[in-house]
Amino acid sequence: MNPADLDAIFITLKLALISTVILMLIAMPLAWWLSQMQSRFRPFLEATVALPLVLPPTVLGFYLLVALGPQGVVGSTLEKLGIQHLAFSFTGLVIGSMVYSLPFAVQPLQNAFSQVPRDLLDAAATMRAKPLDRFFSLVLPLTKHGFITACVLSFAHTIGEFGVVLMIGGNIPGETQVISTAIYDHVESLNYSGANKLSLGLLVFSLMVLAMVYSLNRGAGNMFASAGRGQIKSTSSAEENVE
Amino acid sequence: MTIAPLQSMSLQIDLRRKGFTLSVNTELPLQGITSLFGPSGCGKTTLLRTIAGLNDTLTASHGNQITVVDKNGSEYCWQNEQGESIPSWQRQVGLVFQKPALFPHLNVQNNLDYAWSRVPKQQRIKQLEPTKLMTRMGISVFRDRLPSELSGGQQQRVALARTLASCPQLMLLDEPLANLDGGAKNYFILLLKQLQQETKIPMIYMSHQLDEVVQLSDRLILMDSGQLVTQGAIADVLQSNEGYTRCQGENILFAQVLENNREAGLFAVQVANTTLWFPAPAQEFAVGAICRIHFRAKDISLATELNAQSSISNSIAAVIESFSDSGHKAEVRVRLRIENANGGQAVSATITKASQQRLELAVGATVYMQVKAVALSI
Repeated sequence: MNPADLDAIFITLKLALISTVILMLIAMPLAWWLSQMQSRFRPFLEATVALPLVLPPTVLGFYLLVALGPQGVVGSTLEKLGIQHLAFSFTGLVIGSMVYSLPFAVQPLQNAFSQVPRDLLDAAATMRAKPLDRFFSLVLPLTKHGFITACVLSFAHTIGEFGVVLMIGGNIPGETQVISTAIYDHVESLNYSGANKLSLGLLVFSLMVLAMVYSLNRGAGNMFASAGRGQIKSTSSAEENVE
Repeated sequence: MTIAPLQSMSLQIDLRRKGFTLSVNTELPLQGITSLFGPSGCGKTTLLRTIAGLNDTLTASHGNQITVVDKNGSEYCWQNEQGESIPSWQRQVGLVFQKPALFPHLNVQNNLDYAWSRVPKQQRIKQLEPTKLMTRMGISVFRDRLPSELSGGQQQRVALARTLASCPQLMLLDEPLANLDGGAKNYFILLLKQLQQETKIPMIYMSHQLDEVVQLSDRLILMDSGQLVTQGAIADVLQSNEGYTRCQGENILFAQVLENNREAGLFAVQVANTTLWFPAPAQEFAVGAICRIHFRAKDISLATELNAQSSISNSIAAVIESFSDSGHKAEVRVRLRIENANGGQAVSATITKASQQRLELAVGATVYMQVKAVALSI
């Protein structure tokens, strides 16, 4: 493996780590807000969050490039403030990855949040637990699986991204070149064995990550089955001998 | 912030939604256990959630008012007419739900600690400390178990313990026995009553089960279609016209325990100057204590003279106060008074109009009432 490949691996991991951490901080309140929302605008907001799932990464990358570049809203504002615009930079890559992986972080969290029985939160409220206290003492431990799924999926998805990275990052070796774009370079220069090494690595990595998510979700299913036991009981209470 | 239990609550609530109205304007004294009795869907749960501050629609709307007064006489406004309200977590109201709602990731001990650890130090009631409470309620053996490893009855007991561990000023119970079977239910009723007497925390108990209400309550509120029908001390409410109709002629007599002989299986109580004998009940009754005898108006037969030739051995002398409509055209409700030094206790009997004529019953006459089936409770 040549030094450029090692650089690409390092940058990929750094990018995935940083964008996952920041993304989780944003996704957490957003997912909670969506899960508690009763408004009729909710489907529209959910669709907006899910957009990166269906949009070609190039479209996303294109608009981000325009926005973050020297002529764009964000880029020009930064330039005025004396800061470098974000096109073809690592920071730009982080922003792009976050937008691209947003549904992968929000959806598992939102799912997990909406499964927390309302009764539990109400009960905690009558025991003097303030909203933030309830979130940390109940919601978080009960939705641990959602958090792990969201983290793992965002991380893995960022590692595997190509289109957005290519559009915003520009594939500059040692700066914005990640594994997927490095593979593309190898293929372009007909270095199939180099491409294979990186590709195989990604393949094994992705498989492991997905296996982990699925095994975690199985455990989580059991957890909620026990939480919902009372609910199942109440529907069939007439026939059931409880004690 | 106070430590004293509440002594009264003033409610002024007007909530109208499609197909549902809750309109309550009343002053509730909170002593002992107050039952809120009414058919399913009459607005009991909505009222309870409103008191607990969990009704989001209502807390945000104008024109509703909830004010409470504690035993020290301090007044607190939970909700005012301008739509401002105190959130649930500041109300110090404990709520026991129909479903146990235990925290599934915490074991029994930690469920109780969750409540206890959030009570400010100066508001803690020593006897409600989790370890003591678990021993008192017979749940210390499961302290390390998760809720999913407990039966429904055990879960509900833990839920009650957890609510008590939050040292509330008022407890609200929303049909907590709905998912329990006979044995667990009787145990729970007894426990609830004893705990109320030990802690002096007032309770509002919601139910549509008449037997629970009659056994538990000190005060009774009848509710229908989102409105309060009547309220008062249980014996008075049962003897009112609404109470007689809605509670199927249930009667409560207070009696003093004279003897509780487990070996012979005999149990004696005194009502006015009559001694009544019953088969000894399963539960403990201390001699000298006041117990309650429940029976339905239809289970009473009336005789004009003391009849020794009957298999019903208990006869109580009573004076006929009046006759009124029973709701059935062939029957009549006889209002009776059992005289004693303290002014007596009222009872209703339902008999056929034919019997009334045959026995020539008249207001002011003394009759002997014989009761076939009774239930006893503390």
